[in-house]
Amino acid sequence: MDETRVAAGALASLPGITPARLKMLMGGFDPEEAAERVNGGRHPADPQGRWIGLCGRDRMAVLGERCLESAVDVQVLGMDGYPPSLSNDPMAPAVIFVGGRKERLGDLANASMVCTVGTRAASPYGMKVAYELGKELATAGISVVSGLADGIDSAAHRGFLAPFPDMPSPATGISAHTGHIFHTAFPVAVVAGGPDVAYPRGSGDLFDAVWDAGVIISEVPPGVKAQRWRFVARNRIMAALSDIVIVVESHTSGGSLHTAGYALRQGKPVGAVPGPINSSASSGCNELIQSGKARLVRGTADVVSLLEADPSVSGSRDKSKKKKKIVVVQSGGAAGEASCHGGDQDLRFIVLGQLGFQPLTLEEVVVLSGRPVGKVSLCLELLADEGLAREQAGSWTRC
Amino acid sequence: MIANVPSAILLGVDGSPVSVEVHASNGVPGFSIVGLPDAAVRESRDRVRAALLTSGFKWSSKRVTVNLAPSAVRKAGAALDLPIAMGMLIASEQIDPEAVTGCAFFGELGLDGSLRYFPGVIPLVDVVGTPKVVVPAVCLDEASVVPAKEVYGATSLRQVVDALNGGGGWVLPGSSSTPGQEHEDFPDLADVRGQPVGRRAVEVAAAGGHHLLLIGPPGSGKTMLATRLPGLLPPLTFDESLSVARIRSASALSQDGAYLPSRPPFRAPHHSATAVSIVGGGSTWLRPGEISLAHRGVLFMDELGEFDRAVLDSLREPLEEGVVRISRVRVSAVLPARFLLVAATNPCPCGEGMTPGSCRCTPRMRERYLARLSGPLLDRFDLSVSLAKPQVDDLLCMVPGESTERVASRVAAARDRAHERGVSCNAVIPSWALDQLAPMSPDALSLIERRLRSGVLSARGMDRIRRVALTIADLAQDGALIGAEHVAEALQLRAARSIVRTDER
Ligand SMILES: [Zn+2]
Repeated sequence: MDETRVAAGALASLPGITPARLKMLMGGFDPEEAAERVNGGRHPADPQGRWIGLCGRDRMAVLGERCLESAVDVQVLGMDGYPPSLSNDPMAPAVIFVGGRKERLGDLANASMVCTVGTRAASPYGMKVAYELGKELATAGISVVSGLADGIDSAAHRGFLAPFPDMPSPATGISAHTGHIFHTAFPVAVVAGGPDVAYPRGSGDLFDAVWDAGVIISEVPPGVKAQRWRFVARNRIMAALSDIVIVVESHTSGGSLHTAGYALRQGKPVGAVPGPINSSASSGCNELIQSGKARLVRGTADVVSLLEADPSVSGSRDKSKKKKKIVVVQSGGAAGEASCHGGDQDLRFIVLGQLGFQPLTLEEVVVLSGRPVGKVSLCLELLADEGLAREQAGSWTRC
Repeated sequence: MIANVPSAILLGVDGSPVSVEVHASNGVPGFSIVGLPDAAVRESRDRVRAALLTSGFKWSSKRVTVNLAPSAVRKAGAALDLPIAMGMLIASEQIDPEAVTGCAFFGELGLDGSLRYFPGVIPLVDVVGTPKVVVPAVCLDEASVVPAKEVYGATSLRQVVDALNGGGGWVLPGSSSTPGQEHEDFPDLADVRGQPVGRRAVEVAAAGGHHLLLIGPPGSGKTMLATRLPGLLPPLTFDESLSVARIRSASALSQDGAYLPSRPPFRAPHHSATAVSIVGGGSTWLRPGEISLAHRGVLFMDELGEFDRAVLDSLREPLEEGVVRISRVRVSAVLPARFLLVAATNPCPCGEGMTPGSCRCTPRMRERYLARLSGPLLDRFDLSVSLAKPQVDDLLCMVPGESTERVASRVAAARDRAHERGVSCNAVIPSWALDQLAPMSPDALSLIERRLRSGVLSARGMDRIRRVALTIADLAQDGALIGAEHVAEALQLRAARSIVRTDER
């Protein structure tokens, strides 16, 4: 990695840095100069000199080393290699860290990207819809952007990866514009921690699978754990990377509604999957549809027609804009994402989210949560003790 | 002149030594067999006479009495033809008694003096006290698996006599077919896509020897999982292999060259099979049934509810004691039948009972269907899990599961821990020993207590849960105490029984 990128990475790693401060530090200077000024206390955007000595050669060497070790790249806004779709966003991050199949980053521009988002506390219905949608989009050669959170996010990516167990590069196609063969569909995850940090705990297998097959993007350097406030920016980046956003299941307040909101502001179509009128997990989606902000999505066909209706896409033919973008959004409340402590708490949350009034067999709960039978069993038994879940004839429902 | 030739008869799967005493005396020429012979043994007279004559020997003109001792045991089968013929030759001084010293004889004779196959070679050869044994050549390789016996084979009565007189050779072991190990390929667990609970249940069943009930609609992979169970079990020890070989021999099943199996047997009788073929018995000879052929292995009963009621009832004794007792008019036998039972059933007649809205059965149909599965039988299953029909996409798409090899190594490690406790597997730990052998953590104890109190768990159910939880802890190679997670998983891996039985679990 060249010095410029390392310097940019070092700036993005400063303690207490935020996307806005980073942009100010990097505005008007190239990254190396910015870093040198910050380190020497001579940066106009840092008049108090709070980062003096924190951005020197030694720090850069450490960061460069860490990126090398974790196989993470640094991409800088305005430089080659930075995803063009993201740079169209006026609030695009100045620096991103990229893991997984980094060479795919260039394909972002060629592929149809759908962001699927939804709540962490998803119902079995939402989980199934997300899983099926992910699977069908993969088969249709449409990439899925999501946040790797529990619930809808994970279900969508699990479904996406299901058709291609042995092929890290799912589908290939020929670009209508360049004639090059490219991989049309791959999973893209935008995470709030370092791109090498599996989160939430226990989702390591899915994280690894996405890493192997697609791209993991973060504003945070490798090795750093997710911070709660980063989820907001994460939701915005997902919207920016995608052509459309699909909210699979969402409560009336939740991170996935933010993603949908960002997409609407960026002029991108938003779809929502309707749910039972008495299901709180679908209330956000139903409201999006009722208010006319989102188109009703009943399945992959609706997603595809939404993609084709995307003005940026149809316009692309004459303006030789290369890609179609679709975003499927999972609803995920900030409250859910905040419970990043305690593995059992996490699982409890996931399982509780899956249980609904339709009975689920143990096997279904295990498949949907992606955790071992023993852990899921204990979780269910404890939920039964709390009076939150009930077993009847081997199937589980919510009380 | 009295001749005394050692031999044996088959009782179930065990040999029982018999002395064939032949006495030739002056008097009215005649021939009689005493000592409780059955019809086949009484007919020996005609076969032996023809065989002696066609082989160039004389038929005694004396009064001949054949006594089969001990006389209290009923003698069945035709394997006594050769010892009777040998007794006749000695009694009529056509062969030197010295030549047959220390030698036992087995074999059915053809009218031309040829020696024919008979069932039960292995247990028969094993039981006689003599160091040397003569058997028909077709039984030679099978007989050779018995340790510490000199086994000689011959194709005819003439060859036996010539060889004994030093005028000819024997058929040597291995010259007809190759005895020894079979190479059975079990299907691999990696072929099972998805189904984490079903796979887990099979693993726990193999590790702890727990009987397993699979409940699911047709096409949910019940058979696929069951057939992968034998591959997870540890290979047979020599003693186990020999006991399996004895049973196969006694049922005339081992004529395919694989006399000492290294892998546990897998038997899957169809539900239309007769009670005799499954349990054992029969009119001609007391033939071991499928449950004995599954000894030390896996018995798979698909469509459990469709089996004959008598079959289901007769399973209880073997499931409890590892043996089956069979009584006939004059004989009774105790046959080994320690198998791992894997049974499969639909949740209801139409098979879709687990998917809400799909079942087309009336409550009455359901009730009648499930009534065939008696409570006491269902109680024997430590594990019962429900399986769903995988979607076609999942079959094509899901990541391959763990391989048999990997799961089998965990099973072997878990079984090692059971051996350290002094039991062959956790399923056979007696209830009184559970406190000592399966101590529980406070968390685990309190979970069990809560389930007992709420009535979802019975006292007997609790012991089964503890055994399964111990197996789960063994698989995880966890510490000395059973944890709440292990108990919870054991509870869940048994919960599906309430689909077919609603009173308790
Ligand atoms: Zn039915």
